[in-house]
Amino acid sequence: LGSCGVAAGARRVREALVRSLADAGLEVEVGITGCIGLCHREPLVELESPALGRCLYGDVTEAVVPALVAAHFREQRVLSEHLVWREAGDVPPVLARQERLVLRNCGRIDPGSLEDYVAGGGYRVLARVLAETEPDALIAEVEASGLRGRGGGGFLTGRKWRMARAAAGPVKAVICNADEGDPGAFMDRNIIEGDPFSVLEGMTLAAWAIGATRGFIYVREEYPLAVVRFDQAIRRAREGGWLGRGIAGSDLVFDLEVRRGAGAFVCGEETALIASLEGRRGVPRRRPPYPVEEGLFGWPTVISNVETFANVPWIAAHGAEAFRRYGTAASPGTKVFSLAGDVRFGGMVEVPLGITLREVLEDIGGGSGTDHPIKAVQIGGPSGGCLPTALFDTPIDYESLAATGAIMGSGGLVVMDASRCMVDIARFFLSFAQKESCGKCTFCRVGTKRLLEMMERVCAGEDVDLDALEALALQVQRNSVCGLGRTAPNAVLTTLRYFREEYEAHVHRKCCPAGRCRGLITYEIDACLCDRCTTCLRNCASKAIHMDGRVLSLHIDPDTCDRCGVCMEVCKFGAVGVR
Amino acid sequence: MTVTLTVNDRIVRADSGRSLLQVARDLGIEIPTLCYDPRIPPDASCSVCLVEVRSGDAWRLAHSCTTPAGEGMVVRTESAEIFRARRTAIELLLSDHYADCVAPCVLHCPAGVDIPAYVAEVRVGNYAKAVEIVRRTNPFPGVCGRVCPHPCEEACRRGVMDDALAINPLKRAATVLAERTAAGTDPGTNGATIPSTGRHVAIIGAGPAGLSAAYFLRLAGHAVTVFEAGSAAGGMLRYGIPAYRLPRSVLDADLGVLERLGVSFVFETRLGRDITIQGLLDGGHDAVLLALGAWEERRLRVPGEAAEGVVGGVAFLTRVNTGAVSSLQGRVGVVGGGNTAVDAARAALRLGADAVTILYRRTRDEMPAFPREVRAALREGVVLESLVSPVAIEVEAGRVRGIRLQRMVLGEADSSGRPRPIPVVGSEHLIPVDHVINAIGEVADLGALDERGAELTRGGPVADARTSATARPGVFAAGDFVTGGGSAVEAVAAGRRAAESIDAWLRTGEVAPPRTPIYSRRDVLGEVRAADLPEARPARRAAMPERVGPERLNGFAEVELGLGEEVARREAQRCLQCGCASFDTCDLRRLMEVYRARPDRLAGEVHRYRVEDLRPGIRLDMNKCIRCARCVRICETVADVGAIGFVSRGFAERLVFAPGMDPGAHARCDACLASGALCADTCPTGALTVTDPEAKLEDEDLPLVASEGG
Repeated sequence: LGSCGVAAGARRVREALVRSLADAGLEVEVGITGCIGLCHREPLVELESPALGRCLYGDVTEAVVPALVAAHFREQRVLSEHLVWREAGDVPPVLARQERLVLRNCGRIDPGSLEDYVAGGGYRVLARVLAETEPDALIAEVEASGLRGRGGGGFLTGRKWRMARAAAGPVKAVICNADEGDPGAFMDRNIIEGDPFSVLEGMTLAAWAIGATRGFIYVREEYPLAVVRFDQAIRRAREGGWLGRGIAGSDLVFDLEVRRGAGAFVCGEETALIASLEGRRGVPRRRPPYPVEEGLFGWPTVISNVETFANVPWIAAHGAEAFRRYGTAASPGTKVFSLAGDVRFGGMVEVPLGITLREVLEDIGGGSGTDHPIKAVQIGGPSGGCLPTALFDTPIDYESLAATGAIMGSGGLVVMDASRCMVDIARFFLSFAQKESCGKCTFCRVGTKRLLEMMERVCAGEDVDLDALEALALQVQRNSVCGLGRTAPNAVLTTLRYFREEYEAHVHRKCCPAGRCRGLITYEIDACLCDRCTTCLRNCASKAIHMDGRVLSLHIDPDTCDRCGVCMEVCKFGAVGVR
Repeated sequence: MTVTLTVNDRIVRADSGRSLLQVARDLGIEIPTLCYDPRIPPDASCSVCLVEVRSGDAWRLAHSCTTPAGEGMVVRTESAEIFRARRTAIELLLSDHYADCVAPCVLHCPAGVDIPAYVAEVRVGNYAKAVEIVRRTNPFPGVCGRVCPHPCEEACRRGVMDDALAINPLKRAATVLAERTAAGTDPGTNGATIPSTGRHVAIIGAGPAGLSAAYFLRLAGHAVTVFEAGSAAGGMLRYGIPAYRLPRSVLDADLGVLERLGVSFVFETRLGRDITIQGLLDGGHDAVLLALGAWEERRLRVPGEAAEGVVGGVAFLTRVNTGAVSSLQGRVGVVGGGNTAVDAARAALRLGADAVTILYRRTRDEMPAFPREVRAALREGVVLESLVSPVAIEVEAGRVRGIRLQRMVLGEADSSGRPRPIPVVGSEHLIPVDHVINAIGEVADLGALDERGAELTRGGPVADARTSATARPGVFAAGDFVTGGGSAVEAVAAGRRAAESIDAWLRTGEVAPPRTPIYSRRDVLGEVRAADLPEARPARRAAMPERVGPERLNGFAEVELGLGEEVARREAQRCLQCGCASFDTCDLRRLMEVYRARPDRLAGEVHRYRVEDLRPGIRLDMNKCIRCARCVRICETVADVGAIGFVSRGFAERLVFAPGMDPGAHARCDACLASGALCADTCPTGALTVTDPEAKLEDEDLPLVASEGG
């Protein structure tokens, strides 16, 4: 029961399942798990029986439940039209190419159950480390693993710990950044919802390594289920002696508080997040000093994101060498990505770093899943960049992505098929960043605003000097104070770099090649294809479609038409075209 | 701990805690910044302080105020890239800086008179001071107070609200009222007190351009001799403009200031006849300014033009103004639509003409004459016959009998931007007249130049519009002589520009165009609406009283009577005091000038705020705020009050006064205000200012009295 499953109706499916099983008089234990990552097939139900083993069923709506129960348990046969995967069969490609280190427990255990977590091996490594090793040894192990911050920056986590340990301060802190703000990104949310204890364990290990006593989780208010799961997990961990004084019988003192962010994107930036935690305006400041030197309330602070902390127990348990078997030399390990947009198998996947974009999008994601081929992918959220298919053989690692003008970011992959206008997409991502500017520095506050105005003029087909647009975008990129402003122009810069002809079409030829930009298109009804069913007319919100009574033909008045495209969507005869 | 780093190729040692900005300042290297104040921790918000730090083979831009000096760091503070980045930062700030550096009236005044300043003095009754302010850029407050076409009033922001301020009548009122006060009128500078430069300038022509140049050159310490073909100074002011518009006593009063300043005059001396340019240069003059005006009348080029009864407009006015003609009988036709035509028509009426008709080939809307003059002429009984053009002057026995006219219609716009008149075939008709006054325009008489005249022009205009320099070193030209007939205030402005150019040439030996100042202007960023202006009680413009009844046309008594003191002072209260009170101290304006930043280059959506008093004594003009947070930070850290903060985010961010302050903080806020208010003190623009807490926008009502005489 992750947010994606709940949104698809999983709570009601669970109730139906319990009812169905009771009606059938079957003794079956019903449990819940977090998201397994196959969001496109939610609600998912995994059934296990002695005869069939484990079977994962997808698209299980309430209506499907009785048939499913009847088939699987009573008739002892697999309901094949809903089967996603079975223990005895082939692994579907969407799962086959994954390496689930971080997501090791997601979809397998009840996220609210400490017992489940411990039964799956959880907290074993924390107990062992506290009993047997020294902080420096743990830091050395994390350093050796080459783990890099999964929030986007890619700074070496072990080095961060080393610096924080060396920093002087009576109090030190560990902060988990769970303020995942990129549109189209939901990796951290699903990790928290599916396996909150691994994050707590990772934070506790970090605290022990650097000598921190205070821990904070900064989670966005828009993730209500994640907040609940964290609160629950912290309570249970305290009860179980995994937080508080004398953790696991050692002399370690460490406790955690959950703080909820009010939804400002910039508060995902570490210095702004710290300011917000301190009760001040969530505004970034220039670094240095870095948080490891002077962080929360001036304390040496390690701040990392959810996925980074979730990696830590695995590394501590299996060792740096095992970790380095995944990924590349400079970017070892795995990375969780969320796949959204025009992609067939939308959801969450964990893959070894160094895999190519093409493998992730085509082999695992299954292509666009629409009538059009994939044209580009936005990687790294609004701060990232838009990469064309020509670059799909780029290996996904920090350095290779940076060379393209995009960034690793936190792992959001938004896929665009050929029907999308790249100018409009860039305008959208820029508008997101512009709205989220905190206002502190000139280049971001005013610069992103002016860039957005220029992009709006491009979309409207007005004369815009593309060189001036690019020059201003570069200035904003170079001279903004924090990462938000510095990356805000990336969508514009990468599309200018890889899709410049689309910009030129808007500005010079006054046309939107994808037919998306409202200012440059008109909708028309082809009388030869039109069936006169008037569905378009009845669905037109701006009442722009009229019927000529004498010849019984429908036409769209371009002056009142809002260019919403509903007529084209509802037409069953393909008679509505865009020009 | 100290570190060694390189700043602009200098190896320096610095405390590692110091920022690059501080290190540079210690070395005497100025780095521009708007958000840095040494009293408070740096914030990097304005992003103007960018410098470059070497990073491998490349240079990386960094905010110098928050980048600490590091061991081995290589820094440079000037480069093309740095300049571009700083200019972009300034231009971004200016694109949302909805404020005027200078009031629009001042920008539209050719002479650049500081109008809000003198109006403010009229308002408080300091008339002599008002006159002194006008004279800083215009030596003829009395003259211009009567005859100026006042483009300032067209630009007046008060006009957006109700009526434009009566700016020009207030200038006149200041000159008149100054004489009545105990201190008397402002006598101007005594030339004997000015240290001499030992240089001598010859000015040819005692019209407004030449006299204006003489005034400013004399103030700069140069000896000035004005050579004039006529027998008195004033040029067109004396010989062209009739006395009913400009009483001679007013002209003489303004001229007196020049004499007191020590300007020498040589009358009845004509260039080409009595003196030559070469002769003046050889005779100890270091520079010559040609300000001969435009006296050559354009001819009608129709048959009969040489007949008795046909006269040029300027020639006619000169005869009237010198008393050579004192009466005129019969019907008069005046050809032309400019000020000369209208002046001639109104003068003809006053000389006793039976009927006066202005014949103009376009319509009243296109007439170049000042509209108020046209209006007055029509009110006095002058008839305007528009859309006609003379094709012949009918002559009988050598004397004018009538004018043969052709009807015109308006066509497409011509090069002047006005519709071109096109003759209507077969529309010729005759009107009977006894006198024809030809006033279709005046041009400079270049024949007055000596044998080396060609050398001055090089085939182009006589002089460069910005430097007034001719092609011949040391010889300058200005005014109508260069531009053709214009207004008095344009001639005054041209004279001052010439004076500045000549002064620079005398001091440096070079002629360079002045740097055009760049100003932040509201109207460039978005049309100014009434809601954008300070709130003010509606009040209509004071009407100019005029002489009525038979005595108006009986002789040349002045028609306009001027505003009385109370009316003038109340009118002055209507002034919105546009422009920026922090003009001289504003860092944004200074940097805009240094980096030649264009306020309109990155223009887009702009915020508009009403000016508000944050608390009595502290005024916030959010339009001018650049969100540097200096006030917020200094209030929090130095004043220990925390009274100011930001609300909203991003582009919408704005300042507010904190609501629930505790009594202790209130007391500290009061104490800080009493000692000058740190927030206003640190503000780099004019966004936060200290005001008199008792000050009200408007004074009490004054009783209304009609006119100067009353």
